[in-house]
Amino acid sequence: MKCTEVQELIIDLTPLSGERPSNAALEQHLQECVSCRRVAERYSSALYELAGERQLTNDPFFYDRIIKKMNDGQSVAVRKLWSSKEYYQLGRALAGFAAAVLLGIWLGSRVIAPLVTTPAVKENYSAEKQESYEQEIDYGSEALARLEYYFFDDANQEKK
Amino acid sequence: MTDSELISGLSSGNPEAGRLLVERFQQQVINVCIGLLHNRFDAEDVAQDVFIEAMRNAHRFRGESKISTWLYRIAVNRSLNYLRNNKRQKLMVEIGSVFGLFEGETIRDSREPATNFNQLEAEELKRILKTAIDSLPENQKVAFTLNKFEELSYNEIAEVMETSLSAVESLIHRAKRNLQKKLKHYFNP
Repeated sequence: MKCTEVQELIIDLTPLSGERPSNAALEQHLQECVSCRRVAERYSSALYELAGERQLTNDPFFYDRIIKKMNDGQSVAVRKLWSSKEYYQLGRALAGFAAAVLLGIWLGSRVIAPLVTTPAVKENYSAEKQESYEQEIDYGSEALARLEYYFFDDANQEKK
Repeated sequence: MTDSELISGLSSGNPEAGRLLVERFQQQVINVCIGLLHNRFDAEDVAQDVFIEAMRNAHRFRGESKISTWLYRIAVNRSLNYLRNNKRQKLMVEIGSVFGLFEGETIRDSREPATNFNQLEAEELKRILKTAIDSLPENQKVAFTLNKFEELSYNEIAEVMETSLSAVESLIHRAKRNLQKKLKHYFNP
């Protein structure tokens, strides 16, 4: 008999209490195989412990409690999962969470992102600035040329 | 009082019939609930609901099966419903705990502190077996529990579960196979 077959039989034949129904092949294997014997002992112990949770005597007040529950109309099925207070608390917590997320997004885009991306902006900024300086210089030269034309170009005085 | 007298007494609202029903079947009903819920307080709570339902609906009982079978059926259905609701409730408690709700409330655990090594090992083995049984599919779990802990015959289980004898045989066989697989690593030294 293989150990796997024996272990299946152990689950099958281990009783809640008392002796295991006799099975010659199983008993012989258990005598020879330490591993399976240990499995049988452990399974039997666990089953016995689990069965120990069962109620073995009548509770004399059980009927009275049933009647009380019946009169109160408090069955497991009608009990609410959450009270309104807990729904309110959850709503408040969710609102707080949403506000924190929005604040995070705002801070991220307005405060953190500019700090992180400063070099790129500065480079562009200086290029833009340079361009504007160049334009300014151009405008300056144009203005100077115009002034010279008005005030110092004697050849065209009459036209003016 | 015979079963039919008990049922007619319940149907007519006789309180003595109610008391007798509870006295006669209290242990069976509570033990089925304990077998499926693994928690005495929850099991007693559900068992009370089982008797309330039985007393309210006694007039619907057709007498085709034994009262015990009828009560077992209600107990199994109520326990499974309780487990489903409890799963949802545990999830909501977990969601709530993320937001700091239910402070101090923990998921109930029936384990008690063990005092010595043997007791510790026995408790651990019990917990492992409990977890393995709980992880079985619903039908296999019900069939296995009724057979192993309530010592019902396959025929009675078929009546309780409103299924065929061969289906029960198959369910119990698969349950044992699954348990063997789940327990292999834990119970092998």
